[in-house]
Amino acid sequence: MTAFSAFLESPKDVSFESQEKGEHIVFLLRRHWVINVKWVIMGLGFLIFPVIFWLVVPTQTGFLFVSKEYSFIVGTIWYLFTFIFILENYLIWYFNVYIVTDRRIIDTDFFGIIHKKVSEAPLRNIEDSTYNVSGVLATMFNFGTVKIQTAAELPEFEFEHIPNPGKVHEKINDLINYNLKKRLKKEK
Amino acid sequence: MGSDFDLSIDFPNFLKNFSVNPFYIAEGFLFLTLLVYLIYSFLVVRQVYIMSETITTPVSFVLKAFSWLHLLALIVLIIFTAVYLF
Repeated sequence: MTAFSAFLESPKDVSFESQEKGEHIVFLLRRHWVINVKWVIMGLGFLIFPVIFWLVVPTQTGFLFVSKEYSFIVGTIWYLFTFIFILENYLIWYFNVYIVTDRRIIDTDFFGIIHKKVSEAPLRNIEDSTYNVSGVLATMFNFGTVKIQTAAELPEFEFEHIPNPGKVHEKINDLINYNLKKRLKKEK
Repeated sequence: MGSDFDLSIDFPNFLKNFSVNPFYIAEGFLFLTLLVYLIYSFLVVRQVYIMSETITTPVSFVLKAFSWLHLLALIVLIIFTAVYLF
């Protein structure tokens, strides 16, 4: 289920904007689903609020003197807002991805509706990587943050709240070593 | 100390009988909100396209369809509201 996956290893049907020919995606990572619980609950609350409202507020009260057409307009606006609230939060979660390829790491960020930021660093520029899992939820669901120090323009990459940070950290180190060996072989 | 100046304002006759139905203000506000929301919906469609260009997945098509569906529903609602209110 790519629509709800936060941890994709070598995904076959995914490509990204600046992908080079022959470049292979090793990991495509998103924030763990636990991070989304807050807006999912809010979205569900927005969905059921009108139903509870109509059940709780008796139809005889003066507040409900508006016509059927008005109720329809207001109700539809409410559900459109709810729909766009859920879609917008999903889009931000779905497209804020961290990509590890066999050549580089890429951090794609979308803030709100009109801000986009893409940072990348080749594997040869990575100097160090660490990861941490802290907090009750993070320990329970095994998610955490991988910090990658680079000699690139952006000195530090943070893959925040990603699932299996240990595995990602290990794989990044493997890729760095593999690339280093390959480079040294070429130089010889 | 009383003032000799007359500070009362003589409103023109047509303004003396002027009254605003609060419902008209609410209707105007509602319609304006819908128009601003329409601009936002166009932005969401554009945003989905930009995001899908950045990362292409099988879900991209569904998300584009959702954003267009939302925009279409909003346009229908605006037409309905305009017909009903004005």
